[in-house]
Amino acid sequence: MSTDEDRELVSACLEGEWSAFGKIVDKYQKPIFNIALRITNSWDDAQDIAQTAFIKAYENLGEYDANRKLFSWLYRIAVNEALNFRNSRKDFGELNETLHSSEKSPDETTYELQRNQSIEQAILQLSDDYRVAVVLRHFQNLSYQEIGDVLHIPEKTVKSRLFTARQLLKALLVKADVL
Amino acid sequence: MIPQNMIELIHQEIDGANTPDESRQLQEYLSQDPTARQMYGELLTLAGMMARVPQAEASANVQKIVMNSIDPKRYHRRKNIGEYLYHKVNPDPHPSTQSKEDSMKSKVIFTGLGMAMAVVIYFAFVYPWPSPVESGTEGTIGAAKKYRSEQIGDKDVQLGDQSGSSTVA
Repeated sequence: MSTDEDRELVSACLEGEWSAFGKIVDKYQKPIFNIALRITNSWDDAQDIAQTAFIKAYENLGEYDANRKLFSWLYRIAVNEALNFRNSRKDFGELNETLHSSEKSPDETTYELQRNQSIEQAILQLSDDYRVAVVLRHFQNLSYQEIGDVLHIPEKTVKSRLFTARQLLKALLVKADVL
Repeated sequence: MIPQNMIELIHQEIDGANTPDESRQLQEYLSQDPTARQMYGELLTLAGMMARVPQAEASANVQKIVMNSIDPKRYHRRKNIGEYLYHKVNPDPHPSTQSKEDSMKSKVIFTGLGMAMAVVIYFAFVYPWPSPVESGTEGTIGAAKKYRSEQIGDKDVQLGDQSGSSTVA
């Protein structure tokens, strides 16, 4: 992810070049959507969250600190949106714990599909803090420092959450006979 | 019982965050502790399984919906006068639609400025202002004099029909 390119795009947006924001959306829609998907576990909700996150990002682009990485800022907005959404659904007891997107892709065998569903189910059983740490590390490949930037927590806390989350996941998957 | 520092090194090894020294230290420990070796193997498998979960593709509509929902003019910047003059002196060699609009605006602004200057020149040099020195019209400004009149004394006051009073007495 090129930081310079991102800075130029943000700068162009702030100069009134509206179309530059389209390039930002195009570049980050997949990771933002996937973060939302792993947190909410719903295809449609993840879609809505991704859209809302981008709209909020555009509206607050003037507050973006160019010294930070754009993706950290965007991911933070997306994570907060997803967690708020999830918590609001919990309040109404409407959380659907079945991933709507679990359609078999052409490359997935039945075994792989079952294994992936088991992993998704295990991740869903983690608390929000642990789940977000796992999603950012294992599904977005962020470093400890980058996760800390996104969540505004020290690196030490990132490690602690991630290590505990992995131990819990391991135990869940051993119990489910997947590991 | 695996020491806490070794558990941390196992996790860091999986994340590729260990230094070469830490990796070597961990490998030495793993060669001696089968429990730690099993834990490392399971966590490594877990990480591999998560890495193989495919990324979902967002709908192509996301970008379209976002771009239709945001205000394109939110960050339309107003040029300051310095930039404005700079661009007048160094015109864009490849004028776009935007620069054509700017050109129209600049024509209006320049016309307005020209008219304002003509009015100022007319009133400054051409308009027949009255001559400042005309006899009888000069004015002076000085301290106002305090008006003092003579005070009225007892001798100035004469009550009428004083003879009447003696009659009563």
